[in-house]
Amino acid sequence: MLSYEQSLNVIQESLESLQQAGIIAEHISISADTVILGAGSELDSLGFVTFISDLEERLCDETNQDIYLVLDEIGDFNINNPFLSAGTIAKYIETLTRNLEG
Amino acid sequence: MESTNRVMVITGTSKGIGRGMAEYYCAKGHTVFGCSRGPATFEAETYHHHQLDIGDEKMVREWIRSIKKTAQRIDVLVCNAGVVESTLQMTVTPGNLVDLYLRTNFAGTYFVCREVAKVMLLQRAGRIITISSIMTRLHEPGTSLYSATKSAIVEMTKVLARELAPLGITCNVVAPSLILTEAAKSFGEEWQKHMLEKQTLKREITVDEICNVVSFFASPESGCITGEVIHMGLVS
Repeated sequence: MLSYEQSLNVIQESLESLQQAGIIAEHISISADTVILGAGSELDSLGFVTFISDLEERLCDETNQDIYLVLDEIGDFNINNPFLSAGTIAKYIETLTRNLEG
Repeated sequence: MESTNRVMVITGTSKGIGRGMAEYYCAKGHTVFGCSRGPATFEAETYHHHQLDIGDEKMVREWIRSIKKTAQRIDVLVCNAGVVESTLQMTVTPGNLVDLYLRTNFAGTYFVCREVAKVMLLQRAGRIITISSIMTRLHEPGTSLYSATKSAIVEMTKVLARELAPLGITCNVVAPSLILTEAAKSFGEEWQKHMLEKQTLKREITVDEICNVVSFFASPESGCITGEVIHMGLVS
């Protein structure tokens, strides 16, 4: 299981790798309120889909489990008005990895 | 497709065009990961078969992830799997066939493309080729489901081509004309003759001819070709 803090760290690592790969122009130092998807996000649509794929892969490596991130499993996610913060994603990861143990 | 040992994923490889393509590319020295609902129907040193229903999202996700773990990358996807059943006219087509076509021909292609695209976008390289049909241009009675789902594949591929273009991943469509697969043979000689009359080229095409077009799209030199459809045997 990954704690909320550990989940935020994995998100940060993922964003840093995207910056190194040139997919994100600027360094993003995240907090729980950092917008990942929606108005105010530093990621464009391509950056976001790459981020999700990269994050999924990191979580698999981190937990040694098959993890799939499914956006509509995230509480409060509205597919018609998509908005996600780093904190929301971290909470989702925390729950997802806790359920893996069960 | 000049370079050897590329990692290819080809769906629907137990028979017909898919099997022919898998055998063709294995013979050329490429590594092929194939799938079908049933077991493998041929063996090759570089062929890896997986049994699954491509309409099952979870099974597709697990399969593609297992390929990534084994091969580390996916260079080329050829989305070929699909059903060809029934030439019934729409007014007498049973509802379960609607579900079958949507699930296998469209949803199956969608899930496989989506999962492979996730691998390719981290690689920032890849070739996605979907298989449609010239039927989408003929509007032939009795093909309402087949043609509709094959048209959906064309549209989906074009949208995906635009989404992935900035990452150097190309997405194109091959639309073959009549090829004498077991499915085509099952419709009878009368139907085959009728189809040949509709085509511009009045002959069946071969798997090798389809592979020639696939190889063109898959070639590293074809990086500027995306969102295109090549109709084989038909002036569309």
